[in-house]
Amino acid sequence: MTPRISLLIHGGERDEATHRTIDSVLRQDCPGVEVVVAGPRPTARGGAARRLRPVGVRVEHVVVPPSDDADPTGPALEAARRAAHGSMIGVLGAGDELEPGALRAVLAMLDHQPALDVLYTDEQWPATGAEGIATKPDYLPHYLQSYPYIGRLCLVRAELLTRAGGFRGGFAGAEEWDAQLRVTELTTRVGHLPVVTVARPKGPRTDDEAATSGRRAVADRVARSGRPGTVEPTADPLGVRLWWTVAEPPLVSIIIPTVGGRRTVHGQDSVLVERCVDALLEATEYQHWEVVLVTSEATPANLVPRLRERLGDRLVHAPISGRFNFSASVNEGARRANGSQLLLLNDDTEAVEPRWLDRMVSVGSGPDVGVVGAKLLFESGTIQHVGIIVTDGGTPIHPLGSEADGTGRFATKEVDVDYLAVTGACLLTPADVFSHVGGFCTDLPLNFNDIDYCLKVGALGLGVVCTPFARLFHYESSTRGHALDPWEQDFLDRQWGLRLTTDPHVQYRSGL
Amino acid sequence: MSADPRAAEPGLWHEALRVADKEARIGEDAWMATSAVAILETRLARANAARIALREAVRVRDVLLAEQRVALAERDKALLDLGSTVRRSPLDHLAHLARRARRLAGRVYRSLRR
Repeated sequence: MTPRISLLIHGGERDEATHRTIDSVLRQDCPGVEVVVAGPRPTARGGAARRLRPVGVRVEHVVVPPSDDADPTGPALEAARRAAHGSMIGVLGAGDELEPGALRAVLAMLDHQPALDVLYTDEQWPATGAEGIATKPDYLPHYLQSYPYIGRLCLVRAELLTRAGGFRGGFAGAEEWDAQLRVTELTTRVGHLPVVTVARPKGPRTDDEAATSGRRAVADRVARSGRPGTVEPTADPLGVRLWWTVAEPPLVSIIIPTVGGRRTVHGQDSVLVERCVDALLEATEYQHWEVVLVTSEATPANLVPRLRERLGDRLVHAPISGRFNFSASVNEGARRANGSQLLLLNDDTEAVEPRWLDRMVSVGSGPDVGVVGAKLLFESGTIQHVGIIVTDGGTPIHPLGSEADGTGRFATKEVDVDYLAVTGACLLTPADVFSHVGGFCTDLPLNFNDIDYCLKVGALGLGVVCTPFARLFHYESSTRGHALDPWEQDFLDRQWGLRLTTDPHVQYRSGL
Repeated sequence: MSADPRAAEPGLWHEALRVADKEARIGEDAWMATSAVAILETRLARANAARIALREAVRVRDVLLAEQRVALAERDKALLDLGSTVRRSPLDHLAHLARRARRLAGRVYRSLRR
């Protein structure tokens, strides 16, 4: 019988570790599975192979000749792949152990979704507390090109892996990530089973060699795309920051609705919008922008002249009458905007990172991106926003809110991550997308209008990405209250009930 | 719909946005109607796969517990045996010898009578 799953192991010299892994496959008691061990010599303990046969697990050994590669893992995995017979191929490290029921669970999922080209699961390794339990989100393309979050166990359709070029040498420590990047360029049928199926003896490599290999794998992806771009390291050793080169920087219309509120910020009494504009002038490297200032009847009359002094021709004044309606203000600002990109910016924000707008424009320059969000910090420096997720109850929340700033677990506070929604306090979107989906919904004057907008854009098949490199302060709620009305939640449930259940960040939820 | 913000009059622009917003919601309703079953089935499949993994984990746990119970029983028996050996006093030993001597004597007597 042709095996459905081939598990490749680079045996190396660590035979005992390899046999621990093989034994864990044996314990699965699951037919239709093949183990292919690739190493410099046959494994010392032949007994494992004999014991495997009665339970329908086929084991094969591939002797890999010595190569010039400093790390032979890539060539060894490729040799094992070529010898494999399964229709789905996965990689285990020597010493990894499959959890009980892992393969049966994976096969059940594949039975239900036979069209899946890639299926990955959660995993774990020894660490303090829950630090070593890698529960993962569903497939997030921008996250994958920034961080190797898919890890193990990841099964890939054999034919597709062949088409993608199999495993390559020269990517020590990032062989699997490199292959995953190439495979996901050929398919979007990527599934996630939120079940811990593998226990590794230790976490993924985070040394310099693995980090360099990871950056090279992402740089190769950039080269394959045909679009110019560069990669740079992040504070997390495994993270990669991909910069798409924007040949002709677009004019960004920064839409700032304001009533001219004041507040003491960092010990100084300030008019918030002036602080915000000063940061644009003094702490923003990107130069192709204009400010569309949307004022209401409550805005002090002398505010616009004062800002005109600072901004000159860069200021577009868009007065709006009637009761304050954030959505209507944004829509009016979009009408007056001249740029091809719209940046919605609360007046109580202040740029921290000089390249914040370059970053947002770069991420938003992809044809598959409809919204880009930023990392926002409270005045204290703790996180206010790095993306929005939806709870099982259907309530949108900021998952990492009020945590200390930093790289975060699996670099989630550091690298680009896809979300269902990001906050409208700092949100970049193409002007044509904005008009195509009908802008902000005026039925939501205060809350959830940004989430509603992101969901509309997501429904078009465009990505909503938060790029934490773009860092700003957000002196939140200095202009309005924080209370939510029940009807606002009802509106979301009614309009987006089903889509809210598809939030990909299952790792923050029940896992199902 | 494509509304050019630079060309539209305020009223027209906002009305065009409202129309596009409505179209987006109609599109979402259509998507919900066609996707609801598939999405729920996928959730069900995930739950089923998780159940399979959990059941197998429980089975392995039960096997381990059964093995542990056998090991405990063997250990307890060994302890009992050891305890009875240790508790045996010198008088017990003499009585045992006496019983053996009596049995041997009886055997000799019976063989002689045959």
